[in-house]
Amino acid sequence: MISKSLLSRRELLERCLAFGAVTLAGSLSPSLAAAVWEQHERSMAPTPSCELGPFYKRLAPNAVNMRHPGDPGMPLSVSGVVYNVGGEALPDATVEVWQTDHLGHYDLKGYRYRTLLRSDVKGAYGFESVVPGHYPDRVCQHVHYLVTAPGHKPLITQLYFGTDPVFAGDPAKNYTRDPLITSRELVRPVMLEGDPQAMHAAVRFELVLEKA
Amino acid sequence: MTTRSVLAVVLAFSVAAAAQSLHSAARINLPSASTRLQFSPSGEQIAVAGADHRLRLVKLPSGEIEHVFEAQDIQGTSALAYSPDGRWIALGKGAGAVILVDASTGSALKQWSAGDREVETLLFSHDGRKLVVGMSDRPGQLWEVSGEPRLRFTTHAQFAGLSSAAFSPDDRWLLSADEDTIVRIYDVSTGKEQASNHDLLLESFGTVFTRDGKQALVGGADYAILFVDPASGQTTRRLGAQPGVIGSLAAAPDGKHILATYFDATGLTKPMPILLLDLATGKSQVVSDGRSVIGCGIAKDRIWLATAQDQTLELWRWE
Repeated sequence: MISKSLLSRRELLERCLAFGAVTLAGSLSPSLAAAVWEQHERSMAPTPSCELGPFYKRLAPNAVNMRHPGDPGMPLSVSGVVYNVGGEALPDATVEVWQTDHLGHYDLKGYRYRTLLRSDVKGAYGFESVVPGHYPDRVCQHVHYLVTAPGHKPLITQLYFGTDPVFAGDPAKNYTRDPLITSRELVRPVMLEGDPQAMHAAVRFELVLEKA
Repeated sequence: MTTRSVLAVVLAFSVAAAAQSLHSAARINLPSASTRLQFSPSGEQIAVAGADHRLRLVKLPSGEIEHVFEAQDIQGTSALAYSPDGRWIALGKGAGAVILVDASTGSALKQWSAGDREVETLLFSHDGRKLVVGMSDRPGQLWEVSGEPRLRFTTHAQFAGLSSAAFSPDDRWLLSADEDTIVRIYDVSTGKEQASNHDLLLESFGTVFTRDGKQALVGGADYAILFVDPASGQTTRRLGAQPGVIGSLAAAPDGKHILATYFDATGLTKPMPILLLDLATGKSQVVSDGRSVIGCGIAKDRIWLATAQDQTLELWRWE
């Protein structure tokens, strides 16, 4: 038996055609069919949106490291890639991020825990911060995102943490405890990394933008 | 109208004083503790949300309950606005639902869907013929409501939507403070953006025109109130160092002051003062320390406050 994963889509389609397992319509060439198939396989659902919230602040500085030495709270590393719905990475997308400190306070007078990043040539972005705190009137810890790229709709969303005690260890079941969480997909797994003396939480959060 | 509970209205004494202060005007016992309240601009009614999830329309000064919206009817209501003459109430709900009801009977007169998000902002024009509808993360909409509801135009923002809005006294301008932190001024007759102001970095929740229409005031999470020239959009003055995030602004009846409410960004539950700001000097006087206040507004050319303790509602007049 041939492992599907060892073959490219194109190779697999060609073999299926050769053995008569697949018949193409007259107007469809194998290469075009494979390209369409690959495109379909790569396609991604747009990241669910989530409301902006009241404390977005314009003109945030570009700061990959938002965590200052000695900042209290669990260190946090967030990384991901900005894609379009076709699964292509989007370089030079603008990723604005803002969150509270570990006690749940937004900095309104300055720009603590606020940054404006740009995705690199591979669409990647990342930042260092602390795990945000809880605050009254809001159930879950969260990080706000505003993501923009030319030719795409702005994405306003929020990142949540699977380790948030609110989810009682079962985000799939309990994510609706925060009525503002629009999708289970926004609750991301948290990996604890580093040596025991310098642990930090690491989260991947891919961002998928819709075409304008 | 059904009133199942005993209702008592006590007109309290007020002592005349040289300086302006709050005077108790009425105490009303309701069947449930009150959580939020809105004054009808005509001063003839209040809409009171109760801890029992009912909304009561209470006639003033008698305290008679004119209508009770039961919990199932009012469920999901996220915004409420009186028309300037007090005859209509606009209710906003989830999924863009807008309902215009007769304020004396509570019966629905018009109902339509403005979109797919929860309605967060409702504002009547001064002539009562137009209604601004703002939904979560969606641009504002201006509806003509004197006849069959008709969308006149939609405002625009770089992203997200409307945060707060105000009409000029002659209804010529619509000021839209948007979630992208930009303040935009539209010509109501054409829907064309006339001017914009980019001087605030955070969202604004309070917007108002002065009574003479010469200036618009805007403030929010920047802890500052901007005076904006509506024709050019330019900032003409800035009142900084406000005591909290500005939650609302209203033009006082004397034309010389602005009533400002605040909320605390760090706790959201801490009582914050209600101030009267002198437009000429920028100086402020404390109307209330905010404790127990569940509503304030301008009605019948006076400033009113409402406090609540258990099932007793107390209305206060500033004079």
